[in-house]
Amino acid sequence: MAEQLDPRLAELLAAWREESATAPDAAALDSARLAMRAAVQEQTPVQVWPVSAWRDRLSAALAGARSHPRLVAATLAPLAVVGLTAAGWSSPSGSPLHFVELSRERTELALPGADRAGLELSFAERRLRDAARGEAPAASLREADGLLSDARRDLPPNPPARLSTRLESDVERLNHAAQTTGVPPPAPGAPPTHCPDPSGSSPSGPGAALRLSSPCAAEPSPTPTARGGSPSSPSP
Amino acid sequence: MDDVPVSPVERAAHARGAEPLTLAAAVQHAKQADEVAWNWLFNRFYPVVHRYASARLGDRHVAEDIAQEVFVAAVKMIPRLRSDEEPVVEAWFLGIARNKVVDRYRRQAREPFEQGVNPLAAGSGVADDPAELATDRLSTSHLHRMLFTLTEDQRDVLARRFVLDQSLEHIARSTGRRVGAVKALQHRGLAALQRQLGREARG
Repeated sequence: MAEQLDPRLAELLAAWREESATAPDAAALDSARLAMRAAVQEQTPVQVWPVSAWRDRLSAALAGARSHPRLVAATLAPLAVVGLTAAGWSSPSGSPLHFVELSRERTELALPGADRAGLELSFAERRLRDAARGEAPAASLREADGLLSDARRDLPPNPPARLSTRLESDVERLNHAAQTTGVPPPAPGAPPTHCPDPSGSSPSGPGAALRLSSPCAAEPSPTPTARGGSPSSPSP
Repeated sequence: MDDVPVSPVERAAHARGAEPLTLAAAVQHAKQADEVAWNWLFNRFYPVVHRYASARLGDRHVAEDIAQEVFVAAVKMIPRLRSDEEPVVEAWFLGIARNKVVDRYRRQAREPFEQGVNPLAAGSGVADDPAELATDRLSTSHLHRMLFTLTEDQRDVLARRFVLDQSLEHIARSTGRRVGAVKALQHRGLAALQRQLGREARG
């Protein structure tokens, strides 16, 4: 406002200012306030329930559950099973829900026509990945050991090259992981997690490099694995 | 409603006795459609909104309509208000008011027979009597006719500057312009008004 204004313009601006400062009619003020209130009442406020409201709702829900226990059980049981299965579908070794994964793998292996060796290699590779991520490496490697042993046993008499190569590669990964993670071999007297097939391949063949578990060369027959103790038997 | 507090704002107001609410609390509760908070905002900002509308339109009663429309619109638009600082909230209300004024001008342009808003239409019958003409030249309706020849931005800046007494910096913050740009708008607006006055004095 430092500009030099024409006196007439300055006078007009002063009159403008004075006229605009006129207060509104009281009736207009009330009318505006009422219109605004009506608009506020039309708005749906965002519901923010206080703690007491949450407590009341929870009490009402619990009371309803008590009066219909069978209905609640029938609703919750399937949900619990589904939730448990979903949570444990790929649980790593050592996790409380790992049994879900073991059950799933057993089911897959038991399906007629299942490629047992291929499946066991896949399961073993998953254990190796878990161990590499640091998820219960000792348990993961132990299970991988057993699975690789099972896979070698379940190989067909003339296995395809891809399976043999894969098995060798997995055995190497297992040995490497055992060395790098420093997982100790099972204590003396502990049940071996696998046993190489004595009638199988040559010492340089698949499975020959397994060193993680206790040596089984002297053991006369296959032994249960760490995965639930299914006795080794030739695959169908 | 005076006996039993029904809203957080009202409860807080009761708890604090006569202590006034803060603008931040009022804005926050207004977003939850709290009537007490809206009443508080109304009391705080209605005068400036009405004054601005009155300055822009030159008609107190039309300005009352505009101010009412502003608060009804504000109720719907408040979720978009991202700050609870005084200058920002005031600028937000005045921004709505400005849009309502512009809408009113446009509507007036489509309805040429309505009187009282468009200063050019309102002043179509310029006085012939020299005494009446001299009086008219000092009246605000004359100023409004001259203002109508300015740009919308120039009118807006002059109203904020000379009626609301806002500083250049305040206007710049409110309108999102640089201070230099606001100053230029003010300068050009005043120069245009002075030129018109000079021409009328000569003619």
